Amino acid sequence: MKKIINSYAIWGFLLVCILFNVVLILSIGIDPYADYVKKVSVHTGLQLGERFNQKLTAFVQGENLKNDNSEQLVSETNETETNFLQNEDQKQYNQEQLASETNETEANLSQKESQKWRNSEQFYQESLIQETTEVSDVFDGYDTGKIADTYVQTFRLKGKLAENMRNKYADLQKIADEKGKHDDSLSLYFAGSTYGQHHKLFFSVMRSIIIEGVLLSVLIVLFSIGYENSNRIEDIVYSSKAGRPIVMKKLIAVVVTGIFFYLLLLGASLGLYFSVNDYSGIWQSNVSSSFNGIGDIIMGFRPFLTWHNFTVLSYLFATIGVSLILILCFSLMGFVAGICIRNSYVGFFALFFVNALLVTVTAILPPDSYFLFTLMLSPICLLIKQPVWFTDGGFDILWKNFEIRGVGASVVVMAIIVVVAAIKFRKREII
Amino acid sequence: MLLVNHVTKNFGKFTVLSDLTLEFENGVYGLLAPNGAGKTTLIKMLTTLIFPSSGEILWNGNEIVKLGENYRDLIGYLPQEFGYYKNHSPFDFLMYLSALKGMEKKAASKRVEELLELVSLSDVRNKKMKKFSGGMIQRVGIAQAMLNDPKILILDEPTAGLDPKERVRFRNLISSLSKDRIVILSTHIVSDIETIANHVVLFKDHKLYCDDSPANVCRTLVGKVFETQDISSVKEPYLLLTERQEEGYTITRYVCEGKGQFDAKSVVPNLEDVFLYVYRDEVLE
Repeated sequence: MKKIINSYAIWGFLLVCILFNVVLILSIGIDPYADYVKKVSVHTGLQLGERFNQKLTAFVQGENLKNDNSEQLVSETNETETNFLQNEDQKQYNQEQLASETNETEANLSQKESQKWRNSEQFYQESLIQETTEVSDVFDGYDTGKIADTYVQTFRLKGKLAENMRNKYADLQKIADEKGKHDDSLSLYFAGSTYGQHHKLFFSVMRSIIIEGVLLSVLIVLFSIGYENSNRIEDIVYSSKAGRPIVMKKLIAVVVTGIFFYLLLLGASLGLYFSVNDYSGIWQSNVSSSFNGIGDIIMGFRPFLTWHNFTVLSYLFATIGVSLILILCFSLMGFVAGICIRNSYVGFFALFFVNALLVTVTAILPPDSYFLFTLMLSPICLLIKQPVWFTDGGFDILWKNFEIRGVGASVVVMAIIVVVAAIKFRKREII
Repeated sequence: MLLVNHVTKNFGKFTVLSDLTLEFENGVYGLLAPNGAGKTTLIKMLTTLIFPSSGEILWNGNEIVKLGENYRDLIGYLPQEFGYYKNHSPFDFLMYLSALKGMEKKAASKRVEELLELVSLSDVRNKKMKKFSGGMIQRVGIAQAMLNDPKILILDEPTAGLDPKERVRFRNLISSLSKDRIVILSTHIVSDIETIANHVVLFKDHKLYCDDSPANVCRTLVGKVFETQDISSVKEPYLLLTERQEEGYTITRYVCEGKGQFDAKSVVPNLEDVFLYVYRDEVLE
């Protein structure tokens, strides 16, 4: 662990990842409407409905009154100033005239800006009112069976595959009905900016962080496992009392270190994101809000229907939780590559190639292949599917809670492979 | 006792060592053979880095691979190509290796200081090893091999990179260590083995050629090694060994199975003579 902590390369890569995320977050920008919605939510709460509309109306009226009063105050202040200047000495006529004209221009400018601000806030108010009064519960009468039928017909699924697909959406129907009963979709989130904000955080930023975390953890593992080989002290290490079994102790150390660096990356990146995009007041919104959604080329845009009830905060934590297990899977993969291929660089490219091959295979397999659906539970495919974790997952996912099943199965499979690799390593000759 | 019992080692179809049987007890054993003869292969089998294709290696009657860490705890090993962490100081590096050897930290610290003193590296204990000369690196290697006060000390080309002064120091060190442990020394420098080894082990054609004291090994060429100032006058087949300059004359040393020539001087054979003779390529007619 000390070798990794002291490695400039690892820290350098971490820094590059953080810098990339800084650029990404800053380039995405801030949505002022989302900011406005967050500000309003403090007064109105997050649950849409009659009470929300009343509170919103009251808030808007209050805001407008405040704005009108402050405008009048500005106008009166400017008038007093103008009169005062007009009563000055004649000898300073030119200066007074100039001063008067300048003040008049400033008064006009501040009025225009104020007008502009009022207009934009007015626009936000009207938008919010319209969106929240017109919103309906998307889960009332929502039919997930149609999704199943469409997928089955489009991809000509037969037999067990068709049955599994229909069963998945039959289970999802129960979830939709439950959500409809509890009005889960009538959640404010960021109103009309919900899809954009959700997409920013979970599609762009989190995906970037998780991919960087995977690369970081794999590099840490390969660096550590290959350290003796690259420094040519394998002979001394493996003939010492510690011997070949030391690689298993290393495994624990590198997994812990990989997770530590991932959490550093996560903390720095999300820390910046939430300092730029204030989510306070929005955390308890339901991610299955009517304003949120996912889409695919077959079904188009549809509600963001999760298997479990998630607030924005719990969905974020759940995503982080699954990502940690995913990173563990990739660390184990890196470990196997490291002890099977003694050169760390070759090991990295081998790992990259294997995962690229997996992705390629999923792209070319026929959609009615059971093998395809199984491959979709592999770590690399789960990584690609990260933005739709905890939802039905789309046409290429056959099981509910695919991300939990996937990381669970991957950890078990990788653990078995690790044990086999370690046993083979004990019998491998160090030439 | 360390017993190599009918060990054969193949790499694919190539046989490196064939039906080798050796016994090692306390003392210094010099493995003497040209490159590719199988010295390092044997050493790697003794250190459990590679495994025999057939046969077994036993420590006090127990198979060394099965003994695992109990056996590895007894050995100290200096490989032929000694690697190190360039950005470590010798003190840090030896402390790291002491942890791998299962030594307790306080005891390890004391031992490391002693060894650095022994190999004359105390002055540079905190200097990064990337700044060391080849000889200094080799001394760190010798020190790490002795960290755990091993019962079996295995040194593969230990004097490579050492100057004559360091080589003499090393020989004295090994001699002092050999009284109560097995020291296995693989080297091309015949003089190292000649001065300190109790046993000389020679390999030829992938088999054991001889395992005997240096005196007995040299005795095999008694009456066959000659020196002359005029090699061209030698009529019988001979093997040229060495030449040296002495008082303006070129003295040629050679081996001849016959009686030699009347003006050639019969000399006492040394280990180098035996080495050159055993591993000869051709005989000059």
